[in-house]
Amino acid sequence: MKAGIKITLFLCFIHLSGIAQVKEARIVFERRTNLEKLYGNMEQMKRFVNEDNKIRIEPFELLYNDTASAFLPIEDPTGGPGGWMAYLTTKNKTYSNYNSKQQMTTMDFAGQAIFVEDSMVSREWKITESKRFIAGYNCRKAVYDKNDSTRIYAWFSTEFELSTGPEGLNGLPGVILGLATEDGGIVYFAKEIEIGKIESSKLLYDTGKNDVYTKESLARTIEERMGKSRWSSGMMENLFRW
Amino acid sequence: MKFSKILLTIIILSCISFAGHSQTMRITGTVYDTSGVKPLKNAVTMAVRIKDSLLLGYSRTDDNGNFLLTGFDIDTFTLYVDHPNYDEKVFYLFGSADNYEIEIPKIQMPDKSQNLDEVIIYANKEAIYFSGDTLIYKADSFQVHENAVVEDLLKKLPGIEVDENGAIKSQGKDVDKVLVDGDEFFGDDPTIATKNLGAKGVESVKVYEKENEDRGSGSDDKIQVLDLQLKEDYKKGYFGRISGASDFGLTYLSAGYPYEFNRSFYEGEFLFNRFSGSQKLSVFALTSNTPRSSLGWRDVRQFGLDNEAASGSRWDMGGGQAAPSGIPQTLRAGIYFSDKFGKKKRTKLNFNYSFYDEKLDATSESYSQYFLTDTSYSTNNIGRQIDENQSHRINLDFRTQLDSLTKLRIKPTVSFDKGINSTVDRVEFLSQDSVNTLNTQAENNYDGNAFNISTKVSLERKFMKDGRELYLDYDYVLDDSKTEGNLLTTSDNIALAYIDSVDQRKTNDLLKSGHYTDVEYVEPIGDFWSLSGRYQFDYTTESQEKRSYNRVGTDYNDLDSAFSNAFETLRLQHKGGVTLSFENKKHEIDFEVIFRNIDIDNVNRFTGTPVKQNVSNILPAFDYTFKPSKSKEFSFEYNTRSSQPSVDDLQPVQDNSNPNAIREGNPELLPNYVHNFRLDFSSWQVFSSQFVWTGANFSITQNAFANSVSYNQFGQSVSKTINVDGNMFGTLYAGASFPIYKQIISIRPTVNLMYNKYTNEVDANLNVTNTFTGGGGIRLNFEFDSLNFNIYNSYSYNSSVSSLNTFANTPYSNQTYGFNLRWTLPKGFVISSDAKYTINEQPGEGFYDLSYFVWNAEVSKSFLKTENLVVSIVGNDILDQNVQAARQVSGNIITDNRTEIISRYFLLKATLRFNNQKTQQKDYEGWH
Repeated sequence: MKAGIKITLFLCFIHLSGIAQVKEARIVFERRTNLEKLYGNMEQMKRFVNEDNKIRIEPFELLYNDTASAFLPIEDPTGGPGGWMAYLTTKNKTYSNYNSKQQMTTMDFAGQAIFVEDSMVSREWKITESKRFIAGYNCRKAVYDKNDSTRIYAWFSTEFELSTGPEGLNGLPGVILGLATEDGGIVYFAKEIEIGKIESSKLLYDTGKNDVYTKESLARTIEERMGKSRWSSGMMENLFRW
Repeated sequence: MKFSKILLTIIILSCISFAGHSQTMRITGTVYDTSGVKPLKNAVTMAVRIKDSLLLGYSRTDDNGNFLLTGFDIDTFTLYVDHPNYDEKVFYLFGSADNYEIEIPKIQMPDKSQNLDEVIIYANKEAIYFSGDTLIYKADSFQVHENAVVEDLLKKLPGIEVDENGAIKSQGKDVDKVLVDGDEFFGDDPTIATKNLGAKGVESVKVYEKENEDRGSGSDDKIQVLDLQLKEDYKKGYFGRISGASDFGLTYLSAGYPYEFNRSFYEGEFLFNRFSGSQKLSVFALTSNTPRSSLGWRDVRQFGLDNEAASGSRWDMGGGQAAPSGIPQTLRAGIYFSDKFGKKKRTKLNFNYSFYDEKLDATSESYSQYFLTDTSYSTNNIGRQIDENQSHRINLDFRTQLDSLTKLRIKPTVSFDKGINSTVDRVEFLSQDSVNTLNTQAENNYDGNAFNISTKVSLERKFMKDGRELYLDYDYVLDDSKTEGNLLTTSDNIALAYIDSVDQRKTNDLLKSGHYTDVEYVEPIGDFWSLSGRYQFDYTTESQEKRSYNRVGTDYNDLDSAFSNAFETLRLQHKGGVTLSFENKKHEIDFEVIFRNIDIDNVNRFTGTPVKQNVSNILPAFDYTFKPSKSKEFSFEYNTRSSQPSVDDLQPVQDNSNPNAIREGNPELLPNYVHNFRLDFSSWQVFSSQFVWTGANFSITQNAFANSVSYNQFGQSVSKTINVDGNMFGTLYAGASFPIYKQIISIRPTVNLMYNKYTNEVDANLNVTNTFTGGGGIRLNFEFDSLNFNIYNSYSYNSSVSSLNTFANTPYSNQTYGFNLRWTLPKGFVISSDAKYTINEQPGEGFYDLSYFVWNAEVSKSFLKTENLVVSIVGNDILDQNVQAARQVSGNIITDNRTEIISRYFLLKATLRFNNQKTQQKDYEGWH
């Protein structure tokens, strides 16, 4: 974390000196998931989620250049705090191509990669007057009402040129440095920002021999295969959360 | 919106009419720095619709400061111009059909300014005070009406405002969260707490700022919190279940049932949980004279009855079906209490007291074949066992976090057991040519008392350095059990034409105590390695005094030295070892070496003969796990272990409670030493629901405990435990689960192979028995909306080859076929049923040759709006098969058992679930 603070301070300094455009960067996010909020309504989960483990913290990185971005979980070389609780949170990888307006999401479903390719979703963002600093950047809060019951908050900074963010979210004039569900159950915040060239090879993906679904065909497949199981509703929710 | 910060520029263009076609807004302009001279590159312009704040579009200025913002319909919107080095500039634009092309020729950005919010603090009367940064209201100082809720109270508090939607402001600032005793007891909606909690339960109201754990609900790092401190007896509720079942005496009982069983079958159950804050109190009672003699795993979970989980695994989702071999009568009851203490509730105390009163009346028959070097013989046994046991158990579990790195746990357990056990066994001995040579009868009647204490103390300490850990454990165990009783045997020796009898009074005192200490320290080396050192020291003593008195006249005072002895064993064990571990994302490796020394001091107090043993071993272990991906795992394990003989195996005295199989101890017996190898592979794909697993296990034992038996000419035996080398055990297993037809059906095949080499000694000759077992099965699960069922079968083939006598080498097989079904019908009806058909086969005809079909079913209907009342008819063993059969092969003996179990009965059962909210109360549904 110390390195992060240093970088942030350094960046504050340099962006005050007038470099007001960031075309390529690596942004490290910390995701805090409140398992109690996410699963609190499931009676059987209450036993497992307690004060000590209810907040699950996982790192992610957003890499982008002028035409593409990748949002990836940062693998913990030690495996991280594991056990089955690791499966309670998603580790999706999202690759976005801003020329073709296509997004590829790789879902990790308990070890099995599932590839979903679809065109970018156009979201209706509402802009607020609320502002805050995240990782040294002034951000404005925007709100996306996904549906009647789901509201998502995003804090974006216009200092970054590309319209991108965690989980492939985009459509705001800048990069989203903070993202949260309304109840704060899942929150992403930028911690470190490294400005510099991003190799375009890092923004590529390989689907191998796997099936590639669209969101619709995956939803249909899940319903067909797992319509009866507990997993399916959670999976659909994780897939279509943002 | 701060108007002081905003230069309000309104460009109003007259709205005349809307054209037939919607047109697109087009805004152009040039952005300059504060001086108005230098054009600003890369400033963001953003159009936000006024009526709903929707982002309509955005663009950036080019090198010359020019921008073009277009691509959205005509609207009334705010235009933000934003650049990180300047304050933002805001315009309101009113577009119309005639005026959708707007040009703002010169936008001059204002200087960056910093505005800090001022903090306003109120001073108050005595009922309100500050403690640090926390504002505290004493609730009792504010008058509210009798049935007031928290919201009514808050409205009375100066500085706090509550609007009609229940939103709260303190000193003009929004309250983001309402906590109850520092906890989010009622979830996120603050009104759940404020509109439902009674005001008179509140002790005080605290208002303070708190780090925003989620940093998502508001826009600030800190949020304002209103914390309701409740009076002790507040957060309360309860839930429970009561059920009763009876056959109303309608079951026809065959004459074969035991004497006192001329009454009806019943089951009764009561479970109740009351919670009050962190305090939980559960009470349970269960009584039955059916095989349903323990609580199910679900109930154990839901009601927090952790120590009742002993019988029935988590897979027994329904009631625990212990299926004792015989006719049980059960009463179990108990009380559980748990609470958390301390400011952060870091101290937890659990307490429970349970009482069991269990009776069992079991009648069994068995047929055994004994294969000796020169001959074989067989026995027909008929036995009856009546047990009455009472047990009191007290458990205490105290856990506390001394600081953020140190945890302490103290777990004492006390139990008292009292039992009356009687057995009667009649045995008929038949020679190889089926001539009845000997008949015996043995009656044992004992009263026993046992007292047991165990205490575990463990301390776990972590350090600032991640991965450095220290564990200290100390266990103390004390066992004190006494039995007293009578043995009466008669042997009618037909061949030699005499009758022999034994009539003895017997006492047995066993006292066992142990101190077990364990220290372990783990030190991480770099990111992936760690080294741990461990030292264990055990000090255990066991003493057992067995006395047998022969009857002389009417008194029992002739001590029979052949069956009496006092024996003591003292063991000191030191174990020291190191473990080197490596762990990264894909590989996990552990190397462990333990040096162990046991010093054993056995003393025969009757003869004064000491037997001293000193055994030193190296116990190595190796463990490797490879995870090529999160869904595949391969592991290999090698370990060594050593276990010590029990005092009964050691004590040099004969046990004649079964005159046909007298046992004696062997004080020379050494601890055994086992090498164990295990190999496992598994792969699972949750998305497509495919699972595959396979593995193998192999162990070889040195100084294995084995039976040494010698026979007289009728087949009566005397045996003791000896050490033998080369016993082996190996298994190979594989299984899979994969779905077909849209995962409505899943298929689960399994295969098992087993090999066992067992050495025993028969009349001083070594007898090696090689046993091969092979089998497999398949299960099909069907899951439809209202109907779930599965069908399964299994097959196993068993072949034993004994070196001493080839007559024993009769293979046998077992097949099962069965189904489970649950069908939910309209109007609250549910049908559930299970059935199992068992076929036991052996070549020729034999005792074991048997097939039976056991079928159980239940039809239930739920009542009330909440469906909390369920009435059902339960049918057990509807086809009245009344048997339980098993075959056991050990060394040169094959025994086939049949035990009489409860057969057909029907119960009418009523179950009522309830809770304090009068809502639907569901049983706990675990994850599986």
